[in-house]
Amino acid sequence: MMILLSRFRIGALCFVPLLVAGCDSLEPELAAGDAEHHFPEHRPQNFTDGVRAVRSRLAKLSAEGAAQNRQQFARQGQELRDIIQWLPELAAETDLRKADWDRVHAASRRLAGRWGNFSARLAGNSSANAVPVTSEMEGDLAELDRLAQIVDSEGP
Amino acid sequence: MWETLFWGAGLRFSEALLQAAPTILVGLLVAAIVRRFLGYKLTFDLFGGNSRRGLFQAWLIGMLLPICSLGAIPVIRELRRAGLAGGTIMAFALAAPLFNPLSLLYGLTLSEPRTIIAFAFCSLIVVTIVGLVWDRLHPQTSQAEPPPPPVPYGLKRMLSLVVFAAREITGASLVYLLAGLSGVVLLAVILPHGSLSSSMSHENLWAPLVMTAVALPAYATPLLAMSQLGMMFQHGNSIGAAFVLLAFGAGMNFGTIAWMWRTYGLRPSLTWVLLLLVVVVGLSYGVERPLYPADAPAADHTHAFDVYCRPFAATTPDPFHEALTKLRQNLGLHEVVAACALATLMVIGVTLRTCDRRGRVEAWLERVPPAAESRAGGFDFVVPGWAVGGCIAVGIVAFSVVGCFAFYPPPSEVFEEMRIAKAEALSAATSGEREQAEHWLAICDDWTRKLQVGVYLRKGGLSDYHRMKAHVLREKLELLEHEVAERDADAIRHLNADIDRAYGRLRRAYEQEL
Repeated sequence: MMILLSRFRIGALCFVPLLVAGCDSLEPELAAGDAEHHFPEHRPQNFTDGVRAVRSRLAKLSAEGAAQNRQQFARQGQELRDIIQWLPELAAETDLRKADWDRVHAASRRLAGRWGNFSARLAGNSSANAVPVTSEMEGDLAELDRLAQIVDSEGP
Repeated sequence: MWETLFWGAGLRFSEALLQAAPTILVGLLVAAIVRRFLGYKLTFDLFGGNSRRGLFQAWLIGMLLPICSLGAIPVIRELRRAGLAGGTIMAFALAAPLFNPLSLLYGLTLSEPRTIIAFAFCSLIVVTIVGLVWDRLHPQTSQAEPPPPPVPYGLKRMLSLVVFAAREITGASLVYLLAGLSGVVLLAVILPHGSLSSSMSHENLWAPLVMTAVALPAYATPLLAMSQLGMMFQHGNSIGAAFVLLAFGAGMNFGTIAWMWRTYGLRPSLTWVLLLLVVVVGLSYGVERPLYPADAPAADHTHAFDVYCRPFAATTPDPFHEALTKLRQNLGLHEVVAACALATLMVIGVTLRTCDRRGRVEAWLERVPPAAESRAGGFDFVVPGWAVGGCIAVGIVAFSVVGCFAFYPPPSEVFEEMRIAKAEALSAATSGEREQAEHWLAICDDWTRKLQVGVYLRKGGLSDYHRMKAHVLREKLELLEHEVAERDADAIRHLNADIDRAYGRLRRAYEQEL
């Protein structure tokens, strides 16, 4: 019993300071770092900028393709996908009514799916020739443009 | 440094105790019903005896009762006395704290419904596999005790509930409750302030294992666990870690393990914990990819797990005062009422244990009155104990469902509360009062969630549009919290205006476009 007790005491004596002091060494950097929320650099400021960014980036990527720099294409493709997926959130920061917001949501979902297929085609295109954006994607972009105009007309 | 640790641990202990008070009270009531009304025979049958379906029935009954892992302790002690097998009892102990009507509703609205349903199904897999294997490895664990003599109907029978609960809360159950809360204290001592903020990301392969290490000693009420799950989904955290948090953080605590150790011995307890670890961690890695939402925005950090770490940084000047302020700020009325009821039971229990060591009160309660006194006749007939007990048990479930409507009020009431909280938060942020701002911002955030659940409850659904409007406001509230911490006056002013606009749009969406 005595042996058990002394073992327990020794264990406890070693364990507690180790826990307290050992873990405390982490504290300064973590305490200071109520880590900040960072928005990625490619996140647009607002919905209208987002729609413009989707159009311009899509045009650029379909014109250049992946033939020259696959890594860069993959990164830019992912950024475009991010922007498409942010559109509903950006639209919710405007005065768009529910029916119009639902249209943004639906268009961005469709566009994200279509971009997935389209980017695979672009990635497989070995020539430097531009691949035209499909008419379905053009339809979604036109819908988003129209909704962006509504937002613009309502003012900030 | 030591002062910060001491008062930090004290704060976490008190917070956990207060949060647990309502569900401990319900646990005591359920245990008393089992003992005095349902009786051991009926309870044994209700839980499927010691057949294999007992595991499923224990899981199902556990899912319906609004108790937490600490509140489950007095109940499992009674189930043991009723002669149920260890696997069935532990299936109940694990399943009961995972969901209740309040938390399930919260989870279905604010988390991914598909994920919550999958988690419920996974919990059934866990209790079935672990229960079956454990019962096979350790057969003959049931040990029925003779049932207590029946208490005559009437006031005495109701009084017997109070007497049992009072003795239980000042007896062995208290020791297990304290053992359960010791895990919270341990974490508050060893985990530095904010140290879990970036360790649960989806990309981190170790996230479910890190969560296991944290969640095993941690104690979370079903609602707290569900709100943390919601935040994890919102921040694109690891789904596996979320499942581990639910299974271990809400489902068990040191008290449950201590009870098992004391009741079944060291080896069977270790087997149980090891089996649980293997199945839960295995499942957590299994569900990570299939349940991870494709469009989840991965945030760089979350404050969802700050409650398991030290509440104060080492440099906090007056930790005692800080702890007291935080405790006062976070107190809910239902917690205060439940804590007072528990304190009353404890006073009664201590008095009984001091003045009536031989159980004369119980003997008096159990004394059968002469036949002439016992019935008035006519409509004044004797309602059997099982009927009264069953009604109370069903009443508890029904009450918790009805309670949902009070806990998640309609939009008009929410906006009235939110308007006040927002004004307080923005004013505190502008004047640079960080603590006040954080307090009111958290309340605002909480109201946006209650708003969503309240609408879901009343309308039977919630559109993506309404979810997004609430999400936008929450994002801005979180940004403001960071800017207040950074003391960036320009950004605060800008965000205040943004929050006002987002609030206006949220209100319009919920008042005019539902």
